[in-house]
Amino acid sequence: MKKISLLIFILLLSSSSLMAKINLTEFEKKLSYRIIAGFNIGATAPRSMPNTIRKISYYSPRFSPSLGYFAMYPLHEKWILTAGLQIDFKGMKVTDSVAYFHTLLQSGNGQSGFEGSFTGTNSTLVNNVYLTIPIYTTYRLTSHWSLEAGGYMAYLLSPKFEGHVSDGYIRNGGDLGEKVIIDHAEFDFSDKLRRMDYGLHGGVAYQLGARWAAALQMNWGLCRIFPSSFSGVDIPLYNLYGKLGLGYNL
Amino acid sequence: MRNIFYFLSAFLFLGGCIKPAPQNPEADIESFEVADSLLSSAVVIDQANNKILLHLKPEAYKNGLAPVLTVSSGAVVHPASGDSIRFQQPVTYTVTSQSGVNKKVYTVEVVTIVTWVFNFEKWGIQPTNQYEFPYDDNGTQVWSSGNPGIAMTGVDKKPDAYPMRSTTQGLHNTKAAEIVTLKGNAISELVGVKLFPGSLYLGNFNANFALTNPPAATEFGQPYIGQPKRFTGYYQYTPGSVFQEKDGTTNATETDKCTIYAILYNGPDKLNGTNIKTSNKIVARAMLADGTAKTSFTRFDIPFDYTGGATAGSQLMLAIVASSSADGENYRGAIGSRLVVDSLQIIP
Repeated sequence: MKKISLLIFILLLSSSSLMAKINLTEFEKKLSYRIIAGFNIGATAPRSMPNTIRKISYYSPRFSPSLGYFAMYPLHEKWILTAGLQIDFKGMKVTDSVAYFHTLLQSGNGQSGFEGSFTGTNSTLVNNVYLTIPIYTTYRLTSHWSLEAGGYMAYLLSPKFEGHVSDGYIRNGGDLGEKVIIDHAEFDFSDKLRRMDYGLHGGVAYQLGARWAAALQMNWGLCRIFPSSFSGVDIPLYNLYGKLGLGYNL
Repeated sequence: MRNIFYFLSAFLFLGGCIKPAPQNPEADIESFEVADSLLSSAVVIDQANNKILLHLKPEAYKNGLAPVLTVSSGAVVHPASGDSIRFQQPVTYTVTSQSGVNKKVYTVEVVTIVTWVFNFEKWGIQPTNQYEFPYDDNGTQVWSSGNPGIAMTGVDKKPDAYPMRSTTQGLHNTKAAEIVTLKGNAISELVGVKLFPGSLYLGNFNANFALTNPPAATEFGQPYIGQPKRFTGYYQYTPGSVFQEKDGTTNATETDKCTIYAILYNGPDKLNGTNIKTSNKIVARAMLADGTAKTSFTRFDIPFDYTGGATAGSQLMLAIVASSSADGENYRGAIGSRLVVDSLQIIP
């Protein structure tokens, strides 16, 4: 853990002139650097579909770029420890039909508003921007192929989780409340999102030449994006995103 | 590229298959049908308070009846649809949802207005949302207001957070109905409502339309026998200081007014906020002409005007409506406008 901390520390400083003043000798000499640019494709979704979601009629990934700066430290001839600092957009748009789905229409000042179970069409747009610190070990399978496994921690820089419900009805308070027809009602849960996220990182990379590499990565969120006390979306949602990227060794 | 897509799809929809439909958790009585010949007005299902309100002809009350019910899909009701019920003792229906988990008990109430004199001395409180409503002298709930709709916007659960409530500052310091125009809130603004006009009316609130078309949710009127002559009562009115348009902008040239009126029309279907003043079913009107400020209780005595009205049929309904903002159905008015009404009376 000490090593990892140091690595991140170096990483944070490496682009600044401070670096020149710190004598890191051997350790620094072994470090190499890489930039990876790519796209996230995935969903902010439950791990298993609850039975209140009846049909997904539309899904589209958002334009979700990812740009990261990585430092790599060889632990062994086959093993490399990698840590990075990365900006990740994670977004999608989905339209689904739900039945008896617990939600709420909430006022801007955060006071709880009209809560109940909704049956009808839900349309959600997610577009979150995270500052991510991925840390993983790479195992070289061959001169071209390598596998990655590790984890990530992320901080939400810019949240967006909004949408509308339409063509249905909400039952005031729950399943036994009176039925209120909904033509169209907006919701915006952006400021309810958790600021922190963490999860597992897995991937496979292919070396294209001396400097270039292609990477396919999976970032599997383990942290519910909303706190469990939030009742607007009563199913746990996670960031489940894959990344297709191109790396360049500096 | 295609392979990558498959790779992504594979993890995305891991466990992502659509599950079998959940068992229906709903337990509503959706319709309650009784032969028209037994009714003096259409059946009202008050879903917010789990009540079936029947306006029966006297022989139906004596002999009982066999209503035909429809309930939420898959739910079971006891007593069953088509079973006879009698009113010698309280009648309830229990609906059990298809899921088996949820039960809803509806109480059947026979609504009769014996005397058309309303002094607003007896009040009840709705248990879940804590808004007040008046009972008539026989303990029947014949009055409603916009309060059930405003309850859905998440206002504080206390009587004075709602536009219509009781006051002890009535005529001769008895209780009376106080109707106040309040500021809208963030939830109501989602549906474009920036103020809550206070209202009190004979009839019921139909939650179905509370968000899509709020004026249609206020269903006006109770069955009436005969042709009334006059509408009398007392009122006191203080308009709020700043008149605002529907979009929230200030209108400096206008002062808020109150409105109080009684309308006799051909039932059994109820008129609502969208057509109570314009319907061709209207037989007679008694409208308060002067809706301006009245610092002390002022008596009104308005004859019903039958000119130009429809011919009275056999199922007449009478609506009494009072609002603290005369153009409240268009969400125009002044926040703080306060109307107090007491001793309302229909003179036959």
